This record gives sequence, structure tokens and C-alpha cells, in this order.
Amino acid sequence: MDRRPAVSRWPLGLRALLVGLAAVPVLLALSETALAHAAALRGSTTTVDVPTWLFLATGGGAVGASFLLASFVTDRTFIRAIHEWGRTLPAPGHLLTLGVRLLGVGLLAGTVAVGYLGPPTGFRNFAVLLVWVVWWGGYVASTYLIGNMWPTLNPFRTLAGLVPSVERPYPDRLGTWPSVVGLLGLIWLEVISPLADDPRLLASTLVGYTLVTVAGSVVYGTETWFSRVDPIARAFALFGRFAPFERTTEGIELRLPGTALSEAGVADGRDEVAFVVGLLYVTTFDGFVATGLWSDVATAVVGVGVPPLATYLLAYLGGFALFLGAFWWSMGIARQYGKTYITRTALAERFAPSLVAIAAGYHVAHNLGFLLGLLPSVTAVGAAPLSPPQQPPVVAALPGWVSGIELTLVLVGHFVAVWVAHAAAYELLPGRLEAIKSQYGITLVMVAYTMISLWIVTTPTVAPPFLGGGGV
Amino acid sequence: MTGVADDDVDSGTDVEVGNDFDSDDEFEDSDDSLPETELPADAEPLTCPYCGFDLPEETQYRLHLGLEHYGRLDEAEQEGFKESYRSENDALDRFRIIALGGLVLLYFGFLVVYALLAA
Repeated sequence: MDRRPAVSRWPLGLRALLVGLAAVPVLLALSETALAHAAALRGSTTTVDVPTWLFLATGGGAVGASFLLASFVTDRTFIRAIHEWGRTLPAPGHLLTLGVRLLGVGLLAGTVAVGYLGPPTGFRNFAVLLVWVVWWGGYVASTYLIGNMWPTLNPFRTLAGLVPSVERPYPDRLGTWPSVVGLLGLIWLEVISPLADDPRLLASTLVGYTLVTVAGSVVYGTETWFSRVDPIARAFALFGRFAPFERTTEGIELRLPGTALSEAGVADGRDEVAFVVGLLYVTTFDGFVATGLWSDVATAVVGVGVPPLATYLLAYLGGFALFLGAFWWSMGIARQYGKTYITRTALAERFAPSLVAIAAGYHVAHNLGFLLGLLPSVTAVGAAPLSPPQQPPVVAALPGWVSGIELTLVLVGHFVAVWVAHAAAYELLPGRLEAIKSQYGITLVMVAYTMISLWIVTTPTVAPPFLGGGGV
Repeated sequence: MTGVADDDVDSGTDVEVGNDFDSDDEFEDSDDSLPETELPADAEPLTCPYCGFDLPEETQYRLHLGLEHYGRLDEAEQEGFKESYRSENDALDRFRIIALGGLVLLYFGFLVVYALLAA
């Protein structure tokens, strides 16, 4: 029996979609003045005088409005249809895979060599530019904008795969917690050490990282190591769940960006939920230490007699606890308003992946200007890595629209996140109204987070205090 | 099915009821796809006879039955599901009016603030 009335099944969903589409330009127009303000901040020419609180409130308001708009879409089949849309494309051949693997290893070897042999100044050394501009600023964006190629390109994995493994059983009680610690540890190192400026230190870190991953993979097996412990591989795998293309056993799957995040199994257990929250948190902290507010707070705290590193560590871990706490609180709200007995953990497993969209949007916002500004340097230094020009060219003043794009992407990330949370709620809860109400908490958290991240992106950056020129 | 459609043709609600019937077989008897539940000490859960999922109240219970196991319900249970679904539509309509009000408030609130600052 076909229960689908062919034509009449669409009106409500379509109506809701039309309302949504009509409202987006309104919201964008609404935030335009604020964007102009932000551009003015960066270009340091005063054009429109919008107070910061209003600018931040507009961003928060836009995210809140997107939740209200999403609440008009209550047709489960329609939501599912959006998330199930997709095509399968043929997988790349073995030769191409082998080529990409060799390229990855070659790039790693080249980076380490240039890191040791090239000039000691960061902005003249191709290793620093390759890692921080090309890889972190540019390549990482491809993992969520296109697809996660890292499992193939990953030079650490290729090298680890060459060494036979003793395949010791991985302690299951550890789950993926080591990757959470690893993620926090890597970003901690990046913030407090001159890893972004010192090519020798960077090369040594890469060698160290290679040794650790190869050793781990020898003990526990390549698959286990890179799917449960290695923080970079895990972060990219999450970003890859956002991307429109994904390698599966059948070939390459094509879908709408972000739609796979509402599926079950993206985050499994508290450890993986903590990793998602951590992914969002580390980018925020990285930006936060370069704000004037942190400079003032840190100076005051260190003035009282707390060692600078301890100040950073306290703020770092305290901030992470705050992020986890806020998310956990929102899951309590979801449980209460969603009228369900589903555990907080089980709810968190389905709601947390929506944060990946925010992390992706924030990553672009954090890196786009940096990438565009330093691209001329990359070409000039890359042409002669061992004898680069004394002053590699940079784009001195980026056009105002770049920061406009950055802010728009922060908001787009949040819009997608609101929608993913909406779809996840409809997968979990039988009541449609309860599914909407279950998102109250997470929407509030997202609104607060939008305002924080917009503030960090637009506030003028200062060098983080007490780090001796380290940090980005 | 047509009975439902006849009940409230003009409100369009029958459309949604029709849609959600599609999902009835999807999770059937696959316990591993059920999210984990935890009952408060004083809870009196309604347990789904087909998949063992615990639900806190009558409406959620009937909606769960209809959405997940529609094909296995008897006539009375199917009626109960449709009834819950329809009354949910009314609640959703009320929510939409409030949400629309919220959007209007947000929009004009910001409009007024921006206008005041521009003046």
C-alpha cells in the first residue's frame, strides 16, 4: 500500500522552506550594518558607528531567529529527505591513492628538511608557511568544504603502515579520551610555545609526532591508533562528516553539506562528545588569548603572583570545563523539555555533532584573512625554500569584504548547526513539539557562543602576554 | 488513511499524518538503534510492547507506537495515534504563532534599535 500522496505531501514542508528562504536575506540585511562596522574595525577607518553590544546582539539574534525559522519545519519525511539526499560517485583508482600517499610523505619530509636547513626566521621559512598557512589555514578547510582526504594523504599513517604491528589489544576503557587529551595538548603547545615562529622547533615537533604515531600504531595497529587516539585524524574525520563528499566502501558519496551530522554514530559516548566540544573550544581559546581582555586579565593575575604558565593552563582547562558544562546543561534541558527518558549522554551523542558545523565556520573565520594575506609569501618562499627573499611579499591591507565573508561564515556555520540539531531532535523524539522544545538549551548555548566568537573575530588582536613572542 | 484525510481537509494536517506513516518499519525490532534511557526513581514509564522503549507519558507513547510500529498496531491503537497526532498539530499551530511573534519582535526590535542609533 502506497501511503504517500504524491502531490499533497509537500505543501507544508515547502511552505516552511519558502518562509525560511524569504527570511534569510532579511536577516542578512539586518546584519549588514554590523558587518560594515566589523570591516571598519579591521580597516581602522570609522564608517558606521554601531556599538559592539548591538553588533554582538545582532549575531546572537540571527542565530535565535534561525531556530525559530527551523521550528516551522515539522515534517519528518521532509527533514529526512533533505538529509538522505545523495549520490554515489566512483572511487579513485589505486594509482591515484598511491600518488597522494607519496605526496603526503614527500611533503612531510620536505617540511622537516626545510625546517632544519632553511632560514631560522619563521616568516621566511617554508616549513612554517607550509604547516601554518597551507596546511592549517588552507588544507584543513578542504576537509569540511570538499571532503576528508586525510586518511590517504596523512603521511604519519602512510609511514606507520609500513611498519609491522604487534596489534596489542587497545584498552577499551580509555575509549577516545587519549585523543581529547592529545587535541588539548597540541593546541596548548601551539599557544604557549613559539611553534608558529620557530622552524627548528616545528621540525622537531613533526619528527616527534611521527615517532609517537609510528610507535602507537606498532603497538595497537594503524586502524585503532588513527581512529581512536590520533587527535588530528579524529578532528579531520569529524570535519569530513560535514563535507559534501565522503569516501565510503561503495565509492565517493555526495550529499548536502552538514546533513550527515544528524546521523547516529558521528559521536559515540561521552569521550567523543567531549572531543567535539574540545574541537570547538580550542579554536576559541586560540583566538581568545590574542584579545585585549585576556591581556588585561592575565597581567592582573600574574601581578598577584601566579606564574604565567599556570595562569594560561588554568584559563585553558577552566574554559574547557565551562564549555563542557554549558553543553551538558543544555542536554538536561533537552531531556526535560523533550519529555523523554533518553539519557543525557545519548542525547549529547546526537546533538554534539551539530557543533562541528560551528567549528568549521569558525575555522574559516579565523584563518581566511591569514591565508589570503600570506599567500604571496608562500609562493615567493616556496620558489626558493633554502634562499628565500629577505622580505617575502604579503598582502598588506586586505579588502574589507574579506572580514565580511569571515563573519558571514561564522553565522552560516551556526545556521547549519541549528538545522542539524533540529533534524537530530526529530530523529530522536516522537513528539514534534517536544522535538522543537528540546532545542531550547542548545539554542541558547549557540546564541551565547555566536556572540563570544563574533567578539573574538572582530576585536583587535594583541600579542598574548608573557609568551615571549610565541603563539599566533 | 482516507478517513484521516476527510477529517480536516482544509488544515492540511492529513498530509503530515500520511507522511509519517512511512517510517513505521524503519526501526522495527532493531533494539540497537534505540537510544539509551534512564528512568528517574519515581518514574512510571509506559513501555513499548514492540521494542521495549520507555516513554514518560501517554501522548509520547502513542506517537512512538504510531511512528515506529504503525503496521503492527490494531485499529484502536491506530486511532489513538491519529488522535494524538492531530491534537499535536493544534499545539504546533499555537507554537508557530508564538514563534512568528518572536521573529517579528526580533526583526522590528533590531530595526528600531538600528534606526534610533542611526538618527
